[in-house]
Amino acid sequence: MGLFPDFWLINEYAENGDSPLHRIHPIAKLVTVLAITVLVVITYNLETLVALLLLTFFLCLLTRASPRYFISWLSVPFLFGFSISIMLPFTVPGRALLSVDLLLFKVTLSIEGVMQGLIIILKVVTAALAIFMVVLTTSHFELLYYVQKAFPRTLSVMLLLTFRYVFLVIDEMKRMREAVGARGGSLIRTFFENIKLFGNILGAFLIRTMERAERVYTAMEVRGFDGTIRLLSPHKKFSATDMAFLVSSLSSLSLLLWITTEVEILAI
Amino acid sequence: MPSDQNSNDNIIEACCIEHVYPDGTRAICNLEFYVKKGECVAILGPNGAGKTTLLLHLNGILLPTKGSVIVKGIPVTKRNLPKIRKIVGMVFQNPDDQLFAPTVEQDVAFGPLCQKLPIEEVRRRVEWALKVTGLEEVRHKPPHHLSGGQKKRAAIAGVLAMRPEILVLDEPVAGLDPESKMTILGILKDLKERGGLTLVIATHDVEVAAILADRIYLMKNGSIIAEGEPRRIFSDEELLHMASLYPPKPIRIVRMLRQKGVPIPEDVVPLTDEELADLIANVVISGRR
Repeated sequence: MGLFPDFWLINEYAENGDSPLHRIHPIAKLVTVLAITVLVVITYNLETLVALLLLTFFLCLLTRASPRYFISWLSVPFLFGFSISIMLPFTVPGRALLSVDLLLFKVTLSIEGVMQGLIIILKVVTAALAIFMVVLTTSHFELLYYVQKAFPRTLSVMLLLTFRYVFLVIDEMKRMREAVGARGGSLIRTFFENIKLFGNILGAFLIRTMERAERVYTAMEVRGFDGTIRLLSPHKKFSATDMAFLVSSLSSLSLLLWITTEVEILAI
Repeated sequence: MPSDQNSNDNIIEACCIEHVYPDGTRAICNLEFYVKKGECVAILGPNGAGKTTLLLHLNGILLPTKGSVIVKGIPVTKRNLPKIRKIVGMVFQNPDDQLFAPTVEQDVAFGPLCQKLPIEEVRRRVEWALKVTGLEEVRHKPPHHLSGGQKKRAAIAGVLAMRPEILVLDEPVAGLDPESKMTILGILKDLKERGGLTLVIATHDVEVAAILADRIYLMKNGSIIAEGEPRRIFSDEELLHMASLYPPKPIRIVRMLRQKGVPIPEDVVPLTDEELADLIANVVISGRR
């Protein structure tokens, strides 16, 4: 199991998986994820963030994908959040948690700094979990169909083409890595010995990509492409179950916000 | 020189066309090429013969440096491209270059949606194209989840949904397993015989030409070195040798049988496995008598 999200695995699970969340309409899931993201962005309350993380994790469990996947894939967002917040305990003023006297200066870790760092990490991890939940349980075409509607035309074309060709690019990279491996090389182990070779491989890869882009564009042009990718609307209808899911997830989020805010007020 | 070149029922006419790429490579030179309505024409030749370059002229992806291409009486020029592309549908060699939409159904719908047809008509055409190519089961799958044969069929479906009168295919069975190859050939045969579609196929697979083609153009180094019916072209060993090709397997087997003393007349040229089986059965039965 890799630390990076496996696009092939996610796509396979999204297209062929069967869980209660797979049967929910994409709009209901997207609105839920949007609501979670908005709450994550606006709140700085630690209790609210912990509760949001638990709720999102519960939704992820409903996908029936192994929790080990989420946990390993969270390492990248975690490291991202950690790299942003690493300096906060040393720079945010407040009560000292730990103080170390070095010869020339004194290093102090503040409780407020640690809390702020923790909040940032919780925000990043919760938002990433919410996205994993939706991309693992929604046919990627349906997801793209609704997401691209919110984008300007050029960006929506780029989004659709990126989704289609990212898998080919991954395959091509894999084949090139295997070709290097079959002749005893390794992209990591022999990187410095073969740095010139890898430069050439990357160059060849870029040229191949450009050539493919030209061929794809030609194939689109002969079918009448005029700058807009028109799509048929998905067959799925918004049902009473979808409405029930949306209402219950939004109610849970409101309740969670209210309880944690009340707890904070009572604590004050 | 093709004998029927000036006939009125030609749907494609290419006169003295020449194409020079920007790097100076002369890919095709002084080509005379015609296709009659409803026939299947195969362009045979080794790699680098100029087959694909010729195909790309038929719906205006490339315009000739010299000469002219006329489709259904309309000259292929920049101004006429929308009209030409409604008549001529092009299926590229690599289906991954053609299938860009997130699902098979969406890709098949792309052409009709670009033609701005009413949505009901688009859905009707998509259903028809998926049925003809046998892809109804995988309509919601993304292209990267399909096998090579399915991808090729999806690429054909995407062009068929635009209801072209002429279908141009570049190496339609290259890299496919025998079953997928036969499926594609069956679909193309059906489209020609029942649908009345005109087919132009570039290939170096002589079996494909033997099964499908009414007429063959043999190409080498950017020029047409022969034109004629498959039996005539495939029985001329010297000509095929010039184009670095071998005759189809049934013809090779008949030659071997003749060398072993089996009395098969020289004018008998079986193109398909069925024709060969009939011939051998006749020889065996007449031998018993």
